[in-house]
Formats: sequence, C-alpha cells, structure tokens
Amino acid sequence: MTPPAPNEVTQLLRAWSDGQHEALERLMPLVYEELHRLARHYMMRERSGHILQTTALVNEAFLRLVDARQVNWQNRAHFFAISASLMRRILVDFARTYQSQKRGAGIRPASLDEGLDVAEEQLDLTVLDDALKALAALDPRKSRVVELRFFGGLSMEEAAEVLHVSPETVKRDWKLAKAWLLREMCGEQDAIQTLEAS
Amino acid sequence: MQSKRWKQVEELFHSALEQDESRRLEFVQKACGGDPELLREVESLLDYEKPAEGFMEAPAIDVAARALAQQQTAGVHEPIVGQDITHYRILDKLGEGGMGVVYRAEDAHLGREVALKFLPPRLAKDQRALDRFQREARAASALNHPNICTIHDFGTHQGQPFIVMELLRGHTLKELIQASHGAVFPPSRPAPFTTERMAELATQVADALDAAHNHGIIHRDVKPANIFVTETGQAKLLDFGLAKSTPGKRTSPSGTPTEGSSGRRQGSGQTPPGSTPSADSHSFTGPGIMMGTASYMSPEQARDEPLDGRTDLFSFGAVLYEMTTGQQAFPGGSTAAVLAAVLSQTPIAPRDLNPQLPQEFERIINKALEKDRDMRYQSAAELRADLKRFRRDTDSGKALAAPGVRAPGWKERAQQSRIFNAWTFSLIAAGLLVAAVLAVYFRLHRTTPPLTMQDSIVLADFANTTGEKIFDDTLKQALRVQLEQSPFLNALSEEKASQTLGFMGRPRDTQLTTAVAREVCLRTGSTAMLLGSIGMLGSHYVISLDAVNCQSGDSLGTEMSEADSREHVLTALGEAAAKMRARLGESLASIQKYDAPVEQVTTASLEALQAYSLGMKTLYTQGDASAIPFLKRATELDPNFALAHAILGNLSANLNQPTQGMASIKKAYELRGRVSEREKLNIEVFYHSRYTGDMEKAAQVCEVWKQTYPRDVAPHVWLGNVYQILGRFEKALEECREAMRLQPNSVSSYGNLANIDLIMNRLEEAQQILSQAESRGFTSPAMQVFLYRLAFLRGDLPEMERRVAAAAGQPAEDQLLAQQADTEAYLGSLVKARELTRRTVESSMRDGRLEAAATFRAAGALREAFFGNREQARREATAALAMTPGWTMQTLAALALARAGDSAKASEVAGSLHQEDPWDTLLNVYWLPTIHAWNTLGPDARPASRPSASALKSGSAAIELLEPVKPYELGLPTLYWVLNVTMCPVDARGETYLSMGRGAEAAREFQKIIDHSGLVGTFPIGALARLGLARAYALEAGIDLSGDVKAGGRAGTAAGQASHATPPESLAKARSAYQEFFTLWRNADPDIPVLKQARAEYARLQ
Repeated sequence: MTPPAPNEVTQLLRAWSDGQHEALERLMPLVYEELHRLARHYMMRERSGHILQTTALVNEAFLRLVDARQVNWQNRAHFFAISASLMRRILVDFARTYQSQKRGAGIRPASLDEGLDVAEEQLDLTVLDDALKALAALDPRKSRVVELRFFGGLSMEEAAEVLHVSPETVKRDWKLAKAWLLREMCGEQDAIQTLEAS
Repeated sequence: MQSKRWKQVEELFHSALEQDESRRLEFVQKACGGDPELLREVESLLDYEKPAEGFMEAPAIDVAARALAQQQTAGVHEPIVGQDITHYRILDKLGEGGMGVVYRAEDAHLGREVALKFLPPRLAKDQRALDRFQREARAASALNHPNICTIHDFGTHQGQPFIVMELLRGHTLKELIQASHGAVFPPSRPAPFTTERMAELATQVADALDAAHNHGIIHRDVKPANIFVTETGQAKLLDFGLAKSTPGKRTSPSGTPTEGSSGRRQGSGQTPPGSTPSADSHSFTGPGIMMGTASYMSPEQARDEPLDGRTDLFSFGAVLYEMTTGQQAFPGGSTAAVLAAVLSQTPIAPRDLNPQLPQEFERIINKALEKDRDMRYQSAAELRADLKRFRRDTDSGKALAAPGVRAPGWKERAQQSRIFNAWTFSLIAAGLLVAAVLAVYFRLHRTTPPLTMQDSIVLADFANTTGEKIFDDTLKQALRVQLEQSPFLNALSEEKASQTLGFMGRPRDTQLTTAVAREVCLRTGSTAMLLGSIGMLGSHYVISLDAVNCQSGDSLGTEMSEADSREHVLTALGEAAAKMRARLGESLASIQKYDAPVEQVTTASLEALQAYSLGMKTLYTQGDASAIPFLKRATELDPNFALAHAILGNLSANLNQPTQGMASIKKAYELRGRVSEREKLNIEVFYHSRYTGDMEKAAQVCEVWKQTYPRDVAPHVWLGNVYQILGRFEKALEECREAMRLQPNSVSSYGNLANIDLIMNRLEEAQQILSQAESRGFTSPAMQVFLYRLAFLRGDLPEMERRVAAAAGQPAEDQLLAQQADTEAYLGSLVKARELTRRTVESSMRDGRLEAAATFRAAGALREAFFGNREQARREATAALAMTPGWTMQTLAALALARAGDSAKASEVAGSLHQEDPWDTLLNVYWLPTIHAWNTLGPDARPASRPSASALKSGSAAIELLEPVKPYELGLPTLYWVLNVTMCPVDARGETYLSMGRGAEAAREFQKIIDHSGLVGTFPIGALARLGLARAYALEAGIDLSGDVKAGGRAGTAAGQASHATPPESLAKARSAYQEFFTLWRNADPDIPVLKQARAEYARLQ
C-alpha cells in the first residue's frame, strides 16, 4: 500500500549511475509498484467511463519516485540524464512484456481511432522507442530532449540545464522532434496495417 | 539524410511556423525553390505539427500506467480461454475495441461456433440503456436479414453483460480502409476497392438499413467499425442499439422511424407527452465523451435533436465518403472541431481526392451528406435505388468518369450551402417594417401555440443601434428577469449558455449575436431564440422582440413597443415581453398572475441595472468573487434593488462569508415584494434556511415553489439541504436526485449527492459521483473537500496528500488545509494540526476572507478544548472572536470556551448570538443547548464511578438541556459543509453520562459517534469517541477512573454498586477499547492532556 520512499529510489538510481548494476534489479519493482498504483487510480476512473487529464498527479508521482532535492549537491545534470534513460529502459521493457501478453488475433488496438486526436489515444511505448532510436541516428540531441522530457519528466529548463543549451533551443527541438516522431510512428503503422491486410 | 540537409529542414520548419498559417504553404514553396524533396519533407513535418501538439505531453510513466489500467480493466472479469460461460466454451480472443471484447466460443448445446461480445462497462452499468439495447438488438436480429449480424443470445458473466452473435470471419470496414489508405494523415492513396465492389457493399448496407428502418429501428452509430465485410464479401451491419438515444421510438407518417418528439420540429403543433429530451438523450454531456463517433454523426445528432432514420443515411454517407476517398468527410483534431465541421463545413469534393470516382457516385455521397435532412435521401430505399441504378449503368459503362469533367452543380451547391450556414436573420436588418408585416402574416396563419412548456428558449444579446452603451447588457437581463417569472417559458440559463459556448470552443463571454445564439440554441436542443433590438426613431426608442425557430429560421412572432424617453425603455420592454409571452403560447391567466412590471422586479435605475447585468455576466464567466463588486455597486445605485441584494447574499455565503451574506439576504427579504414570484420564493427559502434557520418554514416554502414552478430545480436543491440539516439523509438524497434529473449538469447537485453519500458511508457511490463531476470539469472547493473526505474514509493517505497538494494556490486551499489539520488531530498529532490550522488561517486571510479565517481559528480552539488544553483553547477562541464577527465562528468559539471551562465568556458569546437571531432554529435547538450543557457541567466534570451529589445534579440538568437536540443530533448543524463540526451534542451527552457514572448510557452515545463515521468525517470527535467508549466500559466494570485514592472508602454510596463484583467481560471490553484508542493514537504527541489521562486510567485497569 505504501508508496516507495523517494530516498530509496534516489539512492538506487545513484548506486546504478555509480556502476552498481544490481541496483536496477531492486529499482524495477519499485517503479512497477508505482505504475500499478497509478493504474489503480485510472481504473477507478475508467470504470465510471471517464478519461481525465491527470498530468499534475503523475508529475507528483514522479517526484515521489525520485527526490531530486537529494541530489542537489551532486552532479544534478548527470543524475537527471541517468534517471531519464533508466526510466526509458524500464518503461519500454514493461510495455513490451505486457504487449506480448496482450497481442491476440491480429486486431491492433486502434491507435488512430476514427482519426481523432492521436495524442489522446494510447501511445505504444515500444513503437516510440524504435522511432526514438531512428531519431537519435539523425539528430542525437533531439532524441535526448525527448528522453529527458517524456521519460524523465524534466521541464524545458531542466532539460536545457542537462544539455547545456538554452531553454529556447529545447523548445524548438521538442516541437520538431514531436512532429518527426509522430510521422515516423504513423508511417510505421501504415506499414504494419498493410502487412496485416495482405 | 545528411546533417546539412537536416539543418535546412529544421530551419525551414521553424521559420514556417512563425508565419501566419494561411501563408505557410506559400512561404515554404518559395523557400524551397526548386527542391521538391526538401519541400515534401518540410511540408509533411508541418502537417504533423498540429496533430503532435498533445503528443507525449503526458509523461511516459503515465502512458504506461494507463495501458496497464486498460489491460486490467479489460481483465477484471476477463474470461480465460477454455473457460465455460454458461454453455459457451471460450475458444480464443478475436479482438477488442470501443464496443467491447470479442471471443470465439463454442455453443455446447448446438455444437456451433459463435462470437461472444462483452459489452463496455459504461453500458453495463446503465440498466435502461441495456434494456433498450437488448430490445433493439433483438428486434434487428429478428429481421433475419443477410446483411445484419444475427444475435443469438444475451447473458451476463460475473455481472458483465455479453451478447452471443453469429461468428463472422473477415474484417471491419475500418480495418479495410486503414489497410489500404493508411492512417488518415498521409494524403490520398489508391482506393481500397473497385468502384463496383464499393457500390455492391453499399447496396447491401443500404438494404440492411432499409429493413431496420421499416421496423422502426434506427442504428444511430453507423461507422466503418460497425460494418463488417466477411471473407465471402458480404457486408454485415453490427451493433444495433448500442448508441445512446432517447427511449420511445415512434413511427412518423413518412414511414421512417423517429424518436422522441417530431411535433415541434415539424411544426405540426402536436406535441406528444414527454417530448423534452430526457437526460440520456444527450449523447454528449461533456467534451471528449463522444470521442470516436463524432466523425460520423449527423448534424441533427450533433445538435442532440430527436432523430429519425435519416440520421443513419448521413452517417452512411460519411462512411461512403471515407471508403471512396480514404479520408474522413469531417476531420478535425478534437471533438469540438469535428462537430463544428459536421455542422457547418462542406467536405472537399470526393472526386478532388479520388478522380477515379464516377460523378454519379459522388452525387450519391453528396446527397446522403446533405446537412438539411429534408434535402437528404428520405429513406434507405431511395438510396439503395440510386446505388442499384448506378451499378446497372456502370455495368453498361455509362457512368464511368470522364477525366477532368467535374460533377456539374457541385460547386454551386457548396456555395449555397455555405450561404445557408452563414444564414443570418434578415428581419432586423431589413428593418422593423418587414418585421411588423411578418408579424401580421404570422398572426393570420397561426393555428397552434409555437412553444410548449417543454421547449426552452435562448436569449440573444440585444442589437443596440442607439449608441447608448447603457442598453448593451441591461435589456437582456431585464428581459430575462421578466421572462423568468413565467412558469410557462423556459429561458436557457446564463450558466448553461456560457457552458455551451465553452463546448463550442468559444470564450464564455462571447456576444450572443444572432448566429452564435442560433448555434447555442441548436446545441442545447432549445426550440427558439429571442432576438431583441433597440433603436432610435426620431426622439423615440423602439424596442423589438423577435422569436425565431432556430432550426427552420421561421419567425414565431414579433413584438414591438416604443418609449418616448430613456426612462421608459424598461416599461416598454416589459410590455413587449408580456405580449411575446402570450404569442408564444402562455395562457392569459398565467401572464396576469405572474407579470410584475420589469422595472419593479429589477430596478427603475438603468445604471443599477447595468451594474447588475455586468455582475451577472462576470458571475458566469469569471466566478463568484469577481461578480461581487458589480452587484454591490448595483445595490448602492438603488438600495431597493432586491434581486441584487439576494444574489449578493448568495455569493457571499458561497464564499464562506456568512455574515456578510446574511446582511444582504435580510435586506432582500425585507424587499421581497419587489421581485418576481420565483425570486421571492428563493429569497424566502434562503432567509428561512440560512438566516433564521427555521427549517420547517423553509421546507414549506419549497413545497409551494415545487407546485408553482414544477420544472424548477431550486426547490429540490433547497429541500435537499434542509433535510441534511434535519439528518433525514434518505429524503435529502431523493430531493437531490430529483434536482439532478431536472438539471443534469449542475455542479451543486453533484456536490450534494457526494456529500450525502459520504455521510451515509456509501463510499463507492460517492466515488462514482465525484468522478463523474470531475470528468465533466466540475470542480468547486466543496467538491475538493469531499474528495479529500472520501480518501480519508478509505484511509488512503497518499490520495489525501495529493488532494491537498492539488489545491495549493487554489480557492479551496484553506479548506483542504483545514481538513488536513483535522486529520492530524484525529490521529493525535496536535502539533502538526496546529501548524496546519495556522496555514489555513493564513490562506483564508490571503484571499481576503476574514470571517473564514476566524472560523477556522475557532475550530482550532474547539479542538484544543476537546484535547484538554484549556488555556490554549481559551486563547485561540478569544483571538478568533477578536478578528471579526461571524455566526459560525462565534458558535464554535462559544462551544470551545464552554468546554474549556470559561462559562462566563461562553455564556456571553452565546447570549449575543441569541440576541442577534432570536428565532434561529439551529442555534436554539442545537448549539445553545450544547453550549449550556457544557457550562452546566462545569470545568471539573470527570468520569466518575462514584459521582458526588452535586455532579449528579448538574449532570441531570445537562441531560435535560440536551433533550431538544435529539431530533437534530444526527444532522448537519450548519450549511457550510466544509466546516466539519458534527455530533457535538451527542459527545456532550456521553461526557455527561460519564460524569454521572452511567457507563452503559455513555457507551451508547459514544457508539453513536463511532457508527456515524461518514457524518463525523475528519472531525477529531470521532477519535475521542473511542476513548469515551473505553471509559464508559470501565465505569460499567466498576473501575474508578478519577484517580482519587480516597474514593475507595465511600464505596456503595452512589452509583458504584457495580464495583462489588467486577464483571470480567466489561473489563475486557474496556481494555480493548482503550487499546483501540491507543492504536489510533500510536503516533500521537505524548503531552496531550487527554492522552495522559487515558494512560493513567488504563494503568488502573491492570
């Protein structure tokens, strides 16, 4: 019931970034636990048939996981970067496992349901991960902006601090990266759809 | 791509975005010069820029959590492959979508394979929708049509309904379209089917629709996902009856089925009973709920009008459009945008997207997509006939497209359609003369009243050509007040209108010009709108009112009046309004009865009316607090402006400033002869329930109100409140539900229902109602408090913390902090509680709400008194009293003082309260007796197994004082729910019995508090009741708790007989009750007096 203590996660992250790889083993259950806690929250709401914007809530959840204040005195930027890439690994991994359980008889859960508002539809983290790799080949910084912002939950300013660029640059990178990634992902989907139909 | 190239793309992308959207394309083309590849790259990225706006805006962990939630929700009752559900064995999962999860199963009885579809939870929960669905699905299935998917059976599995239907192999049209066209964004690719194939499928679907319509069944949700194409190439229509709709299908004279009323729409004058769209006919109750189907909705569906079979034909038209072009007819990035497109945009001509498409096919699609259903195909049979003819002609090669030849008339039609959409009412423009002529015409031709009691009417803003700004908002407000007197007319409330503007994606203070008013009218399902204008004719003012049917644009009647001076404008408006009421169908008797002149029911001062109007406008766009200065100004300009006083009173009370509110409401009550009948009732109830607290009187007025204005929500809301005070929560629930039924979108109904559910400890229900409210974007400070209390009652600490954090910097901040303070106190963390109370007070002060601040401080004083910190209690109470006067605060302070033993000061404060409101029921029957009881008991009342004679005497007196509270003791003693102070008299009675050595009776009182955890909420009395109970058991066991060592010598002199033989079970009960209290307070601050006492007492039990 009780959520993981921020310090614990922070300690583990620090240990991991210091090269103690077994920290990851202990970290993952904590993140998963937080995930399940959030999911319970959504289920309660979705049972009443509603979808809500709960970004604030999630940001808080993230803060609960990672207590950034603990690392203020350390190399903050380094720590942020590590957390974000770790979060990416854990979450994409998670998405992959759960999808393999889920994928059944070929009907793909609609990502572009009725053509409405892509952004609000379920986003496939594994597809995003692939697209992000492709972006990294083209423009590494943009891919890192996405990693920091989306996976690491960092603000524009924090991301700018990590990357040693201005927040303005991060904003521009973010905008273009989003358009690029979405195009990449939709394109891939077309390919899959065509494949399935043929 | 080389990095230099990429740099180029990037630069262009950003520069293009800086351009105005209309000039973007041109800019990029120019910038790319002769580099088509670069152009394509930049253009396509720009295409994705908008769709990507919301993309990845939620953090990844959120995305993962949602996916998990979705999986688990689906999996709650998810059957396992191989499992038997009744006589169906699950074989495998076929897929899932918005309409549920589908499995392949074997029917053990008939030995055939079937499909089992579990319905989505939203449907499963709505019994009426479920019944309707079953009825319609059965009916459609009974048609036994080759192109309608057959339903074999219905059932439920662990509470989740499922349908058993024929097993189809193939794909939905949606999948087929996506497979061949890709997602929606990349523009045209080759069509998925040959024209003949499309025409063939279309004919089959048209045939299915024809069969269904002939039997009175409307599908309502025709879309590609609901059309299945089997492996053998047969089209099958799925999911009849799943879409939301109004119950009560009828067949119209023309043979197409209709739902609800057709009378008023077609102007035939006959209105069937119950023709108001019922609550569930609103297929959209908030933004986002229709997600997914909006793209195929007919305009009438988008406007939430009664539907007939022609709605399906429009939707099918949209399907055909997509099938042939690969693009949606009405694309958009949001539901609102799609709806706007459905309502007003003409889609790109299909042949512009797919030049291969024969003209005739395009014509068929366009005709199905006519926005005006009278211009559309009138029946599925007609559409089918055209399709058949087309196929025949195609076979003989006649209809094949000639490249470059456009369908004649298409552009023209599009043009006309746009003109129609920009349709403006020329009546006013053409001048009053025309209006007058039309009015005469109308009078001659009218046979039936244009409106019925079920119709609502939208008030547009006045067109003011006088150049005098003062008329801008005032006339509409005056007209509203005038019309609201009528029990017959139902003017769409300002609140609803502004909400609708929000849904339309417009600012909430958008001027309701004719065009906007019409859209609001259509969207809200209102029947008519009232267009007003004021202009000058020489030195005279001419006022005109024009009622217009917002669907047809027909005038329902026009009224004009003149005023020779500015001062007489309101009178003239009143005359015109009265005549208009008659014209719209109100009986003369009714008009005579409810026709106070407009300047009387508002104000004769135009300036005051203007301030009032601005206030009302502000109220609905910016909230309570911002409106107050305007209304104050209105009362200053005309001190007799009763309505303004009344609203001021209401607003102040809402803002937790009761005393200020009371002054206004008292003034309004004195002036209540100067308001409309309805407003008078409102003021009277307000006055009785909040000012004098005479609940029985308030309930009586409500009953009169219910009879006079049966459609009104307000009396139910009031009664709901009154019954809560009286502790009759079942009845309160009934009234609140009725209020909700009458006005499904009211914030206060949600709040009331949630509060009652919480009090009755119906946590699931409370959760449900609060989630609903939240998802509709209804938040109020009270609602946030309820969410917190729900988490508290569930023991969900993280959620409680989140609620507090979410309220930081919000208007509800102080109230949430106060809740948190109570929670800490409940757990014995007094130091933390004090700190939180300090922050609460600060937060209220920051918002300038002094009375609220003082009240929170007094609540803190009461807490100290409960915990035995007498000095602190007195100090805090005195400080609160010094801040500002205030009814609630003074009551709490008096109680705190009484409990802390300062009877002199407590009596003084109580006396002044009584003097101020001598007839206040709540004060007289609830608070004063409780305060007096404590004063009578005195500061030294302690649990005693052998009480002194004087303790027994004052105890009896206190019990007697508390007698009149009994009928109210389980109710809410204040309407300011956010203040969590309940059951104090019960606690007082329990303590009194303890001091009299009457353990069993004391136990009963404390048990009452423990049993009403919902009512007690976070109030620390709930924790202390456990200690009270322990003490009561100890007394029953004959234990001397007083700590007086000499007491033993006087055994048997008073109520101490029990001590002769200590019943072991009482002792055990006492011990465990103490332990329970200690467990609850395991982290309590050690120096709380009441805790130290409890420890000492417990030691005696050993």
